[in-house]
Amino acid sequence: MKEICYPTWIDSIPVNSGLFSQTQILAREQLKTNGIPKKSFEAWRLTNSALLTEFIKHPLCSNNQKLELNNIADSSKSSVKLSFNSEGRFEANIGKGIEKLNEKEINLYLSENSTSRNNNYDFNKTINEASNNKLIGFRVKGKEKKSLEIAIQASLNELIPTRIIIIVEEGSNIDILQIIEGSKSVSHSHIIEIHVGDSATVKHGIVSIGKDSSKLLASIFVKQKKHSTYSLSCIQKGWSMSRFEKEIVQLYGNAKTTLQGLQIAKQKQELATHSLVKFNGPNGYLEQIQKSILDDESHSIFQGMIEVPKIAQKTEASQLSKNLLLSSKAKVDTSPQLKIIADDVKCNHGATISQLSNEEIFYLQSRGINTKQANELLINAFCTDIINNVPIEVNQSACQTYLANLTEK
Amino acid sequence: MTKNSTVSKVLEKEYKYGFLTQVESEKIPKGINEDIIRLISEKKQEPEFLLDFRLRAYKQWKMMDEPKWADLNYPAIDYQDIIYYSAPKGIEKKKSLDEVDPEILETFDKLGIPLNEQKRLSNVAVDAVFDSVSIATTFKEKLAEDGVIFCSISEAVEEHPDLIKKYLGKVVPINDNFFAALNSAIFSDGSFVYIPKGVKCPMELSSYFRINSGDTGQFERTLIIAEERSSVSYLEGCTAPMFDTNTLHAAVVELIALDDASIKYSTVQNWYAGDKNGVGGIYNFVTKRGQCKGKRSKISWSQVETGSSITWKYPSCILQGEDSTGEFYSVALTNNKQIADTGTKMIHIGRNTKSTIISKGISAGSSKNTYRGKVHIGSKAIGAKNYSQCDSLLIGADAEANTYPYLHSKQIKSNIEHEASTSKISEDQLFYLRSRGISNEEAISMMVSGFCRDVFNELPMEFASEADSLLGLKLEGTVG
Amino acid sequence: MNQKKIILEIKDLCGGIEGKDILNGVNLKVCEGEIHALMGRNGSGKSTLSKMIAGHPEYTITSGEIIFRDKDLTQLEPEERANIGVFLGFQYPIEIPGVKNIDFLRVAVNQRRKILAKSELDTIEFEEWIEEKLKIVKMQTDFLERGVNEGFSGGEKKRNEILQMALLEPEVSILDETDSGLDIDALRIVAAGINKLHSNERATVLITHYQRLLNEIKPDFVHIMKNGEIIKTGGKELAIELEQKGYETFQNPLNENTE
Repeated sequence: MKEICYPTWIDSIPVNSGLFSQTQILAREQLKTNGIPKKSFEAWRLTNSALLTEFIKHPLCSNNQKLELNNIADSSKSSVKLSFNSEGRFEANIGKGIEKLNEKEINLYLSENSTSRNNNYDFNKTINEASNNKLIGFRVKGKEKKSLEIAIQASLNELIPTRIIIIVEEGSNIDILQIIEGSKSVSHSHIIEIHVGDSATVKHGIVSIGKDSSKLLASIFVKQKKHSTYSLSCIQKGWSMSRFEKEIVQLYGNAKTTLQGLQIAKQKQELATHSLVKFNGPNGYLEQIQKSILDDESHSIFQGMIEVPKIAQKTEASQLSKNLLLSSKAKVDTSPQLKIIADDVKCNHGATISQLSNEEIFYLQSRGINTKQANELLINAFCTDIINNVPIEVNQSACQTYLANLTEK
Repeated sequence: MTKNSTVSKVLEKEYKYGFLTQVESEKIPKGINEDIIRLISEKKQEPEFLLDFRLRAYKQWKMMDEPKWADLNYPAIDYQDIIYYSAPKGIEKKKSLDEVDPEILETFDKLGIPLNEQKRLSNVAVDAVFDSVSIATTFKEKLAEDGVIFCSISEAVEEHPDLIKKYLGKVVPINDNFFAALNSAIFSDGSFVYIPKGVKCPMELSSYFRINSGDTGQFERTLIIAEERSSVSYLEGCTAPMFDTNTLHAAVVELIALDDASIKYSTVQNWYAGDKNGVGGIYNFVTKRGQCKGKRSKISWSQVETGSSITWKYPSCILQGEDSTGEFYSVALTNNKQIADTGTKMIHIGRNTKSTIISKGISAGSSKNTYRGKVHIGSKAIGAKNYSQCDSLLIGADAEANTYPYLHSKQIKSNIEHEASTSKISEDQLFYLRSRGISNEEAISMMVSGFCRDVFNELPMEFASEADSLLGLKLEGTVG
Repeated sequence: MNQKKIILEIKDLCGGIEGKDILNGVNLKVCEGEIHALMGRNGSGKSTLSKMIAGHPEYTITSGEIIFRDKDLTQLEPEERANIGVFLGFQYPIEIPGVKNIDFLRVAVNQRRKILAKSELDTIEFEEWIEEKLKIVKMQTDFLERGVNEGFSGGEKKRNEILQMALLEPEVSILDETDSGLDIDALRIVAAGINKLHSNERATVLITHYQRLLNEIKPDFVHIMKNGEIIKTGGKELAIELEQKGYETFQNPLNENTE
């Protein structure tokens, strides 16, 4: 069955022409050879492969990414909204300080940046490249703060691939908010690549909320130059399967990275986060926290690798994984990992798997709060620090809708 | 900087157990095949079931691949180029110490493990293993008064075949992993301990492993059974001469603790680590596992790993009995080109099972020191608790420290807590000690000892001092 | 001034940390039996001076001398300075988990005793000997079993510093803000300890912000430090004046140099 599945599916994908035809040919070949990642791949060991197989059974979404970008001639707004609406189009209004990259620039970018993860078979990326025919790129310039909203909502039984590159130039500052929504059995495949230039600041929020048997594979590639700051708050809720792969490289060290992740799962959902942070220079700083709240028979996976090679002296990195089990059938796999070859570093990591504290519930009850309320209060408290870091200013009303209902059962 | 040179001075104590004993050995031909296995079994006059055990293991082993996941890079081992059995001549049918080659007795004397009646340690019973065979076991008779059986595993096969049949390969199945399968096929000797119901073993038991031949692998097998309400503390030490070839050591240790029993297993591993450039040294690929089978049983592993060119070792606990406890306390020091990949597995199956993991890694030179551990809380382990703490100390800019914990929980009523840190020797702490008149070298020693304190505290008294001197450090006042 | 012997003399000391100049020519003479108080704002260079005297490797001396009993201290390792009788009481004593306080103290004391040509103390002798000293700072013996400063409260850490001073019997003690973070009871204990340990053969340099400590320990000299120099020296009345007027009043015009 499976053997028949891949090739038929792959062959059903429309063939690209132009810029991405070569990439697509390669990716298709890879998919045909390797197929669904095997359990023997450490990074996919814990993934339920049945869910992955489902991922690639849908046709590619019909109106594949017709991109319409309108320049607002006299806009004083420095904000872009990129929305992938139900007709399957990207629409965006380009604002001040944000420019669209042309094909030539994208080509240049691609030749300079191969985003391969440890040279292994990168399933997330391969799926995307095999099916995607467009890459949208932006350049962010200038000191004043800008914002970019990317909203991808889908409710058809289709595969929706997107790939976005954002080059944030020296000294500029941007908030990026990604909202990804899915229902029915939509399959999302998204790649976002962010280049954070010298002394630039990027505050990145991802609110991804799935329903029904929707699935999501997302990769985030970030390269940071000196004195840059990148912070990510990534929320995953409700996908039948979702997997975020984050790869952050501090190209020359001397940068600050904050990674926050929150997984909220119930039923038989499987939410995974795999992160790799690599310091290619000294004086780097990382603060990472990954949390999960698991109900019913859900499964949380976290693998976090921090690599501190010899060149990265005086690196300070901390990583914490906190998991809250709400049901006796939920399960957690967490593995925070450190790989260190520099001697003058301060690195630590920690992990806890626990349930809501009876002591705390009792304390709240003794103040007249009922069990349900007490649970909600504590669960909210568990999530607050991560939710608070989503750059909601980008789209207050949308964020409020999503975030308000985040923890409700 | 002067600081670094002092640090390396602290760490570069000469390997003082590197001498070679000139003794006539009887070796069998190189390589492994069914005939070799039959030959070993025949030499040891083993019963049919054991030969069968070996042959089954060999069949499994042939189908298995060497594990690749442990980040270990070493030249391929030619398993047909190893001698799987080597015994000093005339030792096969030993009756008393008088028949043992004096050279060998002297070897153990030099290693600080005198076997003679007059000289031997008063409160520690020793099983001395030289290459593939057990040379002597002291205090056997005295222990027998309490019903404690302490002997070589070969003797146990002969005298207590029922116990061997019942327990051998039950905790570490023959096909558990590549090296365990290899061991199961060709293990030569090792120690056997049986503590009957209700007996607290009156003295420390100890096995001392000595590899003497350069081309011989050592494949010992240890089996410890603690019956209900019994307890035992077992120590293990190991050394080898300096050869510029690599010698394979693939041991299997199985522990079984029944209701209310407790086993404490301590290791000071000081196999030859190879020279500064990583030439020679022991490949130490060991499978150690304990089964807390009974309610309220307890198995505690403590280890100080300083030797071997490569160590691959994860002493584990299967916490099956309700309220059982598993512990793992480890210090691993690597220097020069050594590689240590060590940690533990705590498999929580029963209710209210508890485990503690304390791991201290010190990597110096261009060595690589990895903690790899797994905590698994199964769906029935209501009330299970784990606490892990893994700290690494880096000395020198080329040393590597990795921490790879894998935590898995399927049980809401359980708690896992893991903490880890990696840092270098703190300049401020160093200055504080020096400002009180303590020399740089001694201050570093103190700090490294302090770093390992939580683990040293778990070692039996006799070992704490050895562990300390092994690290080339001075531990004040713990042992009078 | 009498014929008192000079224990510690600092001449035109300049230097700092990580290429930043902090001291700009400090001069100080400390004789046997004297108590000096060194006062000044944060960043005036007091702690830098103390770290340089003790030989902290991160501080560099660009010029000047530190002479202890005719010996050039700057050429010695930190432990050698301690061995010959220079003691620094830290403002923030560091925690060293795992290293037992008593082990640490015994090694330190025996190093000092070697220099003083006294016999080394073994574990048992040391335990007896230290018991007396514990009384000076009103500490219980269980402190000795804990890691060095590990989990100690602020007051306990400072008392541990004074205990070390009592054990090492230094000739000159530089006590860096030993009074900071202490409640009034702890302050009295610490001050009483310092007074008790002071003698005609020894000298004490107190670094402090407040005059409070000087009510308990009477200094012979008070120095005011500013911008890496001692800008004014006087008797204990200077501390009182300082308390009333604040540091602002004291400038460093060359013509006002009192020396």
